[in-house]
Amino acid sequence: MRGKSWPPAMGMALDHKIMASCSTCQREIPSDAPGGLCPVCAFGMARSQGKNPADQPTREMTSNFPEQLPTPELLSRMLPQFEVQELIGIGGMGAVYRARQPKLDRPIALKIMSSRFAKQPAFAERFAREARLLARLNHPHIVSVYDFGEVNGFCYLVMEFVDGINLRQAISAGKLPADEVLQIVQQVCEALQFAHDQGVVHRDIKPENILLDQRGRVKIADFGLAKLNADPQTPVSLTGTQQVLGTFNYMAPEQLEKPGSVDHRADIYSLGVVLYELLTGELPIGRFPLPGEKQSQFAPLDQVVARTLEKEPQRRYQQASEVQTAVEVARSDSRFQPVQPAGGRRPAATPFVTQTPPAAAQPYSSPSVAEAVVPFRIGNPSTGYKTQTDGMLSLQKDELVITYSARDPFFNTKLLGHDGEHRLPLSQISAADFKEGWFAHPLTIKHRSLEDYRGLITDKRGSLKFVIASEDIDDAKVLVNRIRGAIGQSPIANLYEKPQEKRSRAKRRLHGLGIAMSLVGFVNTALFPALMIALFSLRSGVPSMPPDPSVPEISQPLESNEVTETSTSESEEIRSALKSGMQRTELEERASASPSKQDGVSDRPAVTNVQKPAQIMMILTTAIFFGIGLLLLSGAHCLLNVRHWHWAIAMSILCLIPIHPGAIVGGIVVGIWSLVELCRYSNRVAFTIDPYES
Amino acid sequence: MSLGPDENEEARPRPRFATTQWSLVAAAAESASESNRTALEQLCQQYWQPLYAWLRQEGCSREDAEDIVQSFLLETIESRRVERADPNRGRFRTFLLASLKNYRANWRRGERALKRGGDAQRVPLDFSLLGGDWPAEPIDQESPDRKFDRKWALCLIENSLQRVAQRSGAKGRGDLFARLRPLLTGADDADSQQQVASELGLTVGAVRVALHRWREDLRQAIREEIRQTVLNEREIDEELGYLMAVLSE
Repeated sequence: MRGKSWPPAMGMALDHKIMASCSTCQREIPSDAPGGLCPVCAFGMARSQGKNPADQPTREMTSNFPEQLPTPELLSRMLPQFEVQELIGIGGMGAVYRARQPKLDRPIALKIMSSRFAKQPAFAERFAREARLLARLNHPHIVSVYDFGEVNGFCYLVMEFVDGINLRQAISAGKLPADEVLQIVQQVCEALQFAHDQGVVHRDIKPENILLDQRGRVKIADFGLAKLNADPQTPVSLTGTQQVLGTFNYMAPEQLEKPGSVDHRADIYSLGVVLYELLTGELPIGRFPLPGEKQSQFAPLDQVVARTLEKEPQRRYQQASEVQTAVEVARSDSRFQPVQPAGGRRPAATPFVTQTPPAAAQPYSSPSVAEAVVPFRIGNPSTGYKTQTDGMLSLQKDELVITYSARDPFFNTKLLGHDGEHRLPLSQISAADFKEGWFAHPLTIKHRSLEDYRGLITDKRGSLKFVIASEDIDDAKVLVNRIRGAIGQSPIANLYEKPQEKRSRAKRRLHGLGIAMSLVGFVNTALFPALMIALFSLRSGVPSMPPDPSVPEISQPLESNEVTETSTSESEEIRSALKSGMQRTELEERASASPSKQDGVSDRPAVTNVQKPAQIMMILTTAIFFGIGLLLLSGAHCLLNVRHWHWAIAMSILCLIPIHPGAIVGGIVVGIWSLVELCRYSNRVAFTIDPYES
Repeated sequence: MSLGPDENEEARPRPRFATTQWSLVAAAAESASESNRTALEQLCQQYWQPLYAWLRQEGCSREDAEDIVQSFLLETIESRRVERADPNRGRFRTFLLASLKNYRANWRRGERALKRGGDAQRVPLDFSLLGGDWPAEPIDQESPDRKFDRKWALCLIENSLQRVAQRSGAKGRGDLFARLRPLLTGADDADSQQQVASELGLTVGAVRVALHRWREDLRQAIREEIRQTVLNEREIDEELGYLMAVLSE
């Protein structure tokens, strides 16, 4: 029946009785199925909440968490208020995903607790109680908890997203300078003291839980969650994952023996282990040497380490703030050398730079690395530069991924068969550079790869060049610095230039220009009028003298000069005369008087009449030039103060149009120069920065 | 781990209906208000085909089936029938079939003649598409009830597809939609995607993205379509399961 009722516009021939079978469920598709779709799969698709019947949620996830982790897509469906992007880490407690909260437009970290815990009796209540407690811990060195909840049997925590690395990754990337180690420890102490004052014990202090953000600040994660891990009545079971086992090294002795009687001093012990590891590169197991015995500069810290690692809680420091003070004292000791790298396990390879987390050292692709995506646009050499190639540069784990596709710049359409992807391992890259040009910003990658980079510019073998748009400069710098960090090159400068710094840089650049433009304005407003007045008074002064009859031969050429001037400007003269409301009779009088000029007899009054409109003209033009000069001065003011870009552009154009005396004496050059400078990206951006904004 | 559909559905904004159309109709059965009538009319217009198929399968002639459907729907829309429905149970589908069975038992030729003579009003079913002809609907071996359910399921998919087609047509991509429609339920077959892509001058990536979006649209459309015929959100999945079972037999 559907054969005829199907609207012709939908254009499907359904009358034919060919029994096709569905490629997904292998069932025969009924001949009258609308649109040739397999109806069973269509319903299945709607039921399973999935995009494709192929990925049923039952297959995506089993109860054997963390072996089977929910995919970001599934989590996005379970928690529609978040856009879950990727898995960034797995720990003993659960898995952490990077996500975005679109409503508030902020990045968040979503921690899904392992379903192993959910099986424990009354876990949900304990989880809720702990989460509420954590939400109260509001401290700059503690990862904030925004929200928590339960969905489909999974308990989740919504936390502040820290764009950076954890201390474990920092350690494995190379030794930290000793002073930085102590700074980190002091920040941890500060956070612990705050939490202990609130009655919260971390219970799981270890390098993995100490995060360092882009600015090198410490953020402690997973406060108090370890409490959920262990039932207070029974000792910790040893059947955990690798991660759980790892944390035993940092646990206080009483945590292992009597988990029920753990207090805040357990955190102090764990902190001692972290400090020892940071200083020596080893764990304090068995009979361990003190840091000062390994490196003499750490002798002032021996006391601190020994006291935090006391077996009996009452013999340790009783407060985290005491540790902080002790570390502060040790830092000021003369034996302590702040720049020397700590630890003896590994030679100090590359100094740790917080902005450039080394990609290779990370077990999971760090979000900050995956984020660096830089679009580029270049001419396509394979079509003789007649087409453009659009593409993206991105860092994925330890590879630079170049995706590109060619497009016809005239029709702006994609060209088929001209797209592709190149993957360049970071180990093959020898150098990366980025230059902020005036209009084009080239990003160059020098590499040792022998691959043929078809479709990309290779000005010479082993070098790739990309042109970055002005708005992507900052991203490009980040990308280049990450590559440079990974290959051991020092980072390029000006990475995070503050807005005010940008503005003052532009101000310095535009300073000379502003002065030049104000000089042009000055020519128009002061110099030219002064010249005019001088000229005019000179000219009106000469004819006002009575003619000397004794020297007619001199007065004769003078007169004839006057005559030629009058006759050439006769029509203008009449026009301006009409304008100035001169009497018609006077005009006639002058017309009759002009032939009599030939006689050389006294016609002085006629000459003054002729000069009057010229004088008005002169005053008028001077006034106009004066006005232009004032405008140019305002343009110069804009340039000097880096304000009102559009007005500055308009004034630069006015400056270079040769209709005013200033343009002729140099305004053309100043105008062009100023236009070029104003169009430059870095200067253009500077105009948008509010000078009063901090 | 099974996903509870209700939590997710309720968290999501519902695009079209605050409550299901059928629940609206069933709840307000006593008062034959104008909006109530419109809602029911709309539903009947979308689902007259299974009724017709059922009647044909029962052995009615084409003319009889046409008349019965016309007068049955008219009577139903005029709210002479809905009040007899039990709004707490039953879905629109079962209600409609039960009512039709009842109606047919009482239907007599003479009544029909009277109705047609005395009251010329007809329900505007969308026959315009057919050029005045009713579908032939050949009689086969299926039981009438099963045929009704099967036709219902297919009709529902068609309505959902039309919803998606209207949306994609409104976005100016109706042509691409017509080409990709058969691929919506299939497994991701790179060859056919490549073929469509090269014929339409697109990249395979663009085709995949379009497929992905339309699959999601179709999923939503089917759920919206079913939502109209059931009483609450929970029943959507039950109904889906039932229709799937009917089609898989």
